[in-house]
Amino acid sequence: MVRTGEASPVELTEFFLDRLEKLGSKYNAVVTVTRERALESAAKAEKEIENGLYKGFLHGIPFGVKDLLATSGGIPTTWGAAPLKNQVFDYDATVIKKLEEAGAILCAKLAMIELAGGMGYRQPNASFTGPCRNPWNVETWSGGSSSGSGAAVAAGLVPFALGSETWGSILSPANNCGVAGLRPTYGLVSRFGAMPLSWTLDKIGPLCLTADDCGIILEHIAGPDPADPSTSRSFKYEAPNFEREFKLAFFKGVLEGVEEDVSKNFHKALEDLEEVATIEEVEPPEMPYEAIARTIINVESASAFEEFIDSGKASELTAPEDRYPYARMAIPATEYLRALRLRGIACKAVGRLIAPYDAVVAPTSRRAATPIDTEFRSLSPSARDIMGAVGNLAGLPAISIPNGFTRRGLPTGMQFMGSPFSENSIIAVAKVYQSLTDWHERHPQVS
Amino acid sequence: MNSKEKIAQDLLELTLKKYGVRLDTQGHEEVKKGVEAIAEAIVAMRNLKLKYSDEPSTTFKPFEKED
Repeated sequence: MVRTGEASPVELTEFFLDRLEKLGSKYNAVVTVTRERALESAAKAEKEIENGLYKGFLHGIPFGVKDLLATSGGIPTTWGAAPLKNQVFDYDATVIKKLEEAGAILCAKLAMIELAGGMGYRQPNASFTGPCRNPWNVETWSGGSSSGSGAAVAAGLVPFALGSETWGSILSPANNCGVAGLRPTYGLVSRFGAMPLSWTLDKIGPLCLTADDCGIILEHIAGPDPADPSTSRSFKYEAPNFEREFKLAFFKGVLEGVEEDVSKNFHKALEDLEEVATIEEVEPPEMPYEAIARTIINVESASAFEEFIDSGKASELTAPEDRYPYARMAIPATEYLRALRLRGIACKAVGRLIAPYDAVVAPTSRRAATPIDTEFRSLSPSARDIMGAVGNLAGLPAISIPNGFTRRGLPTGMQFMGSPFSENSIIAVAKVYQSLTDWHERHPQVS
Repeated sequence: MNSKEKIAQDLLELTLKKYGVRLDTQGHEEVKKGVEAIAEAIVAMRNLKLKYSDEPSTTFKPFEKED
């Protein structure tokens, strides 16, 4: 519609800016509405399209980003943290540059858990903008740490948003808010201009209404960037291949500790998928995946935030448990290197196990959105997150899509995780599932 | 005292030496929880035997020229 002139980029942008301004505070989902920059970009896009210079799917389309991506022009980049609420940069993150070059229009910096949850938060109220509320039920949490990105897409405040994941931060809000969220392979998307939490685990990816949209956005943000030495290759989004059955696997024990409604919806989804796929159980090699990932995150975040921590600024953070991130400062270098050595072994073992499959399927989370005022870690303190630990430790891509609702009317999610750089495969499976079901077409009542 | 408890105690002492003056009661409790979790991870990792050939999964690249 934008291409044919039926929809005006300026009108579209004004529509979403108004929604962000009117509804953003209802969910604590927005940090800064970038009205001036957005209207300037929209006017430019409109003129280009009128002159026949249509750049593609994203030309004239508004978007929002998690507020850990640097923006120039005096727009604050707060990292969700009270002591950094006036922080500004004089450059734009590579992913923002890429989207703007494709003609997309930055409309908002979206709320997030302070320092992307790197200080060990245990509750939704861990952001200077307040606990981010879930559009499906404002008394529940949107998930984190890309909280505002999930809530804003679900509530229709932006057509799509960028989030980031070190461990769970894209998939968790996708699960809670009933939207699609894609965690790319480590090194596919430039991290330049993003807050560093853990250099070898941080990934940036899209949250959208459908798996198909995630593929389109990923194509535009992926690619080598001299400013990020971890980036190595481009990504071309290709339509799903329907010529053969998909081959799926699920990890033994993945349903341990999973809520009844989540389990029920997952089993139903597997039945639906049996129309287009074979599904087998596999057992990941026994390794301390969580311990390795936690050690790497602890040490890399200790280094990234050493100055912040030593300055005492952590004491100004919102969640009391985030104010004392001192234990990680004492981890010996030999333990970090042990974690990196074990990581190599784990990556090979998991890589070999999942290579024959298009994707490993699992519930995205053990549960649907939790109450806004509850410490979520206290609900199942000893539960393991094998998919999150393996996937993030080994740098594997995953996509979460909605697969039903609980009896309380909250969305549940299902994830497809694949081999490195197999984004087209996992998106294809998710897209086919979405062609068989209509969960992604249901949206919360927003007033 | 088992290995995990000893590691946690050593880490706690080290942490308190540098940051102890900043800690109130809750701070002490959070640091204690933190070192216990770290010690648990260390013990879990030490249970796996490594070979000399198991190098860290990170790549050092000598600088040749600007990309």
